[in-house]
Amino acid sequence: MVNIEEMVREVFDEIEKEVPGIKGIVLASPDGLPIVSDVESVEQKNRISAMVSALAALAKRMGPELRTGEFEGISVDFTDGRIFCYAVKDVAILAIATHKDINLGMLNLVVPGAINRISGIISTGR
Amino acid sequence: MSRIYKVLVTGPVGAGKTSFIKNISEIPVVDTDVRSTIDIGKETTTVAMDYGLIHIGDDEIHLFGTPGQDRFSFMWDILSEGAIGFILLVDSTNPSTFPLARKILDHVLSRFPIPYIVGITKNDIQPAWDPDFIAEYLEVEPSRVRPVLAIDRKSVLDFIVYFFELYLKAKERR
Ligand SMILES: Nc1nc2c(ncn2[C@@H]2O[C@H](COP(=O)(O)OP(=O)(O)OP(=O)(O)O)[C@@H](O)[C@H]2O)c(=O)[nH]1
Ligand SMILES: [Mg+2]
Repeated sequence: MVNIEEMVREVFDEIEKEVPGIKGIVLASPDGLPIVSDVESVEQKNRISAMVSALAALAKRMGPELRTGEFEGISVDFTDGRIFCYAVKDVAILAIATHKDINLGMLNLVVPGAINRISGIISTGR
Repeated sequence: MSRIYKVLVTGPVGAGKTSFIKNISEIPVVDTDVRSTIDIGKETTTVAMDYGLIHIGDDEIHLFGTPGQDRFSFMWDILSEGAIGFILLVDSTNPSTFPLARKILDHVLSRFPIPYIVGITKNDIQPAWDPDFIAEYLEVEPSRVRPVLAIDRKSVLDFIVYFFELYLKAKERR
């Protein structure tokens, strides 16, 4: 029996280690339920999961509309931070909240591998 | 002159909001349904919004549907913004959703005191709760409560026209 949560958490830890300035990470199902999360509270985990899935679902519908291909991710900027949401195939959404001055190059380098691993973990866990 | 109106379509999970909008929209609807990972009695569920458009006479009605599951309650406020009124759909065969229907009604009305009517869906299926009982439960005048089959285009059309006429009358009176 594989422990999905533990394995995903390992991936989270690696992202956090490689890319300084991460505030929190949530892995949510496409219908907005938390799968694994590294945020302050349960309340936050649940609400963020729901919001992230709404955001991603809506963004995803814009691809066909504008003929811009498959949905990969979306980023949202705030005065004091950013949120990046990535599609993990069709099985989940990975959301990473960061400080404003994050090293984007590093994040872009680390994320594709992390997504692949997470999607692998989830499909073996099924 | 043609005018533009925004109408919110809300209600608990499975009430038929997505079906309602899909059945009357004149344009391909924007739906954000995804496969549900928990058992909610159907395959898919709305996670952000439904959007559709219908003309009544010269007037354009833009329909915005909400998700029904409680955890998406933040969308109720977002989508209510600017609406001239709302339609609350309630599944008459599923009393376990009545408390959430009441919560949504109170929630929306407390922030947006706009005209509304309640659509009682699925009373083609038995056993279904009586619209009058649901009106009483929601503490809504029976005149605001009306059956509608969300899966039937004609029924939905009649319902939306009825809603719009009520809205126009209420507006005249003001
Ligand atoms: N027989 C019957 N079936 C209905 C009626 N209204 C809706 N349905 C069915 O009930 C289900 C309702 O699904 P949706 O339209 O997705 O409901 P929803 O309110 O959008 O649900 P969420 O987005 O998950 O909150 C569908 O399978 C419809 O076919 C009705 O009046 N009669
Ligand atoms: Mg829906």
